Amino acid sequence: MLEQIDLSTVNWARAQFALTAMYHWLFVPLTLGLTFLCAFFETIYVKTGNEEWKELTKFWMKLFGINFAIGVATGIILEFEFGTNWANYSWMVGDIFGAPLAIEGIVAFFLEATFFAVMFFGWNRVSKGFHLLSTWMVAIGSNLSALWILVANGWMQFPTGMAFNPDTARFEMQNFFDVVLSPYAISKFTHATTSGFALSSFFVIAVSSYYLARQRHVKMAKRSIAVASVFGLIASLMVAFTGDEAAFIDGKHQPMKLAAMEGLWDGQKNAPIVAFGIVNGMKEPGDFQDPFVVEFKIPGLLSLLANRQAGSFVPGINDLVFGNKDYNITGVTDMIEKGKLAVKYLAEYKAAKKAGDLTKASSALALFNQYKDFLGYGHLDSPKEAVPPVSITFYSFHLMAAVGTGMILIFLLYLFFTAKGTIERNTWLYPIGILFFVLAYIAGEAGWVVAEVGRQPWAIQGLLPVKVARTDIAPVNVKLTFFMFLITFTLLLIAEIKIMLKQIQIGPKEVK
Amino acid sequence: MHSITGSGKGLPGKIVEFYVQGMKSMGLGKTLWKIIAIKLFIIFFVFRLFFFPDMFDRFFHSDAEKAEHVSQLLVSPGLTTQGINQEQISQQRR
Repeated sequence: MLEQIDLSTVNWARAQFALTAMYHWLFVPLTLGLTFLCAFFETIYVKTGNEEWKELTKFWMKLFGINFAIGVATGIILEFEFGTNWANYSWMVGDIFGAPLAIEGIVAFFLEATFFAVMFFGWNRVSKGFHLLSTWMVAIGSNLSALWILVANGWMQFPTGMAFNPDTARFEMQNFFDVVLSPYAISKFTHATTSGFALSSFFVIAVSSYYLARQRHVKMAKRSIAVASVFGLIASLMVAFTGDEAAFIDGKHQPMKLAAMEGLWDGQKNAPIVAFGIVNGMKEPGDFQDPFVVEFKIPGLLSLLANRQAGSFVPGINDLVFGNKDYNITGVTDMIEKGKLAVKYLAEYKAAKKAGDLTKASSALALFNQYKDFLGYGHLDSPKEAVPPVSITFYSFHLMAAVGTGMILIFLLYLFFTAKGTIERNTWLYPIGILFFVLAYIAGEAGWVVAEVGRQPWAIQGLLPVKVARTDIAPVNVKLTFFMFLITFTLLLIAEIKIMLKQIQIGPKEVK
Repeated sequence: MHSITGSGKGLPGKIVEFYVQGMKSMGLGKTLWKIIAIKLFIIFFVFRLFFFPDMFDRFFHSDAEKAEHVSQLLVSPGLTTQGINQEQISQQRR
């Protein structure tokens, strides 16, 4: 019974973190991309001196400002949750996260406080060049600000550049650049920011399509679509490229996540990608049930994605749980044994140190160091615990990939008809453009679900499971704050949508 | 055109004036600032103070105590954190 209560608390804490992060991610991607679009629009204004471009820039800047104002500080709540719901975890990673989060705070404060003000208050009060510089600095600063958070997240997926200190029970940074330049940090940053660029481009396209459909602000809408479709097309191609890179590094460092993303239970050579499938949600490791109710596969693609080698072997969930000697894969079963040894030797080290027996402490520490990479596995009760929720991971990944592919096509269509000068005649495209703005949001959230649900049960990959990371607090506390956030954030979202829609209804100032 | 560099005041004065003038000339911005102020109050005053205490700061008085607590959890797999917390905290209190 106590176990159930614990599970309930950890799941409420997980749900609360997911809720906060997902709401935060409603505001962030639009900020990341819209700043660059404003910078592009203003650059054209400064180059051409055409006042219509200035009014166009000011209009999109106003919508950016609304999103920024409503979204600002929604991410700080995640840090509160660390201290309250995830205190053990916070203690263990404080040394690693301190530097990136401090840099994020400083960069965000100075860039945003300085250049943000010039961007909004500086029209006609500073030179055109300085104003343009400020807009670019806000764009760069906002994206750099995101970098540090994503570095921290990347480290949780792939802990590197650190050493575990058994005396303080903390992970301590050994090499800042290993942390910042880890493949996961780079992948997270590039994939997340480019997806934000694509989403923001759809925002501009959706609003502009609305104007075209209503025959309002036609010139401004066509100009906005021209810039957004180019930016969006480049961004969506980058999303595909960085997504491929993300899957490749998952294959190397988080193979369980990749297997769950594709619902691959038994590893195989020339492994297929499931283009479409309905997952058998009842399947468990080691059983003989079919993994899918329905599936449509494309042979060989997963081998290419995971290894960049045609026909190569990709391990499935069963290989990773039980091991596969033919392919030299150590299973979770073995890792749990090694993890238990890590825990045992750590306990011996602590006890010997407390007793003042330095010889015994030194020998226990040497043995602990042999197994320390498996520390987290020592806390798993069964190998099945190392398998993430397959259905959620599979569907989220496929939804994200499908929308991502569709985005490229829609940007291409907008660009094609804009270049041809027939965008006004192809009214059928407008509802699709508006729909894809919503879908881009869903795909972005789904991407985070893949990244985070797909790496369960780990708070820090392989080293710390969430059940150890969490704080022991009563479930009712977490439930209460969960609903408080739900209400607060929903009100903020309603406020944003209402203010945004009103401003869109008013539209940009027409230049006579 | 009011210039940030053109008036007779020193630079700090010009910067203050720049912000003051900017704030005064806001339209929609005033509403947004109100929303930001209410939100920050809720986040930092209500949530932070009353609902999101730093649990370790509340229960432990030093880094050594925090380290000892987490170490206990790491070397005791299978035990609930609740049991360890209560036992450890009561030990420390004694």
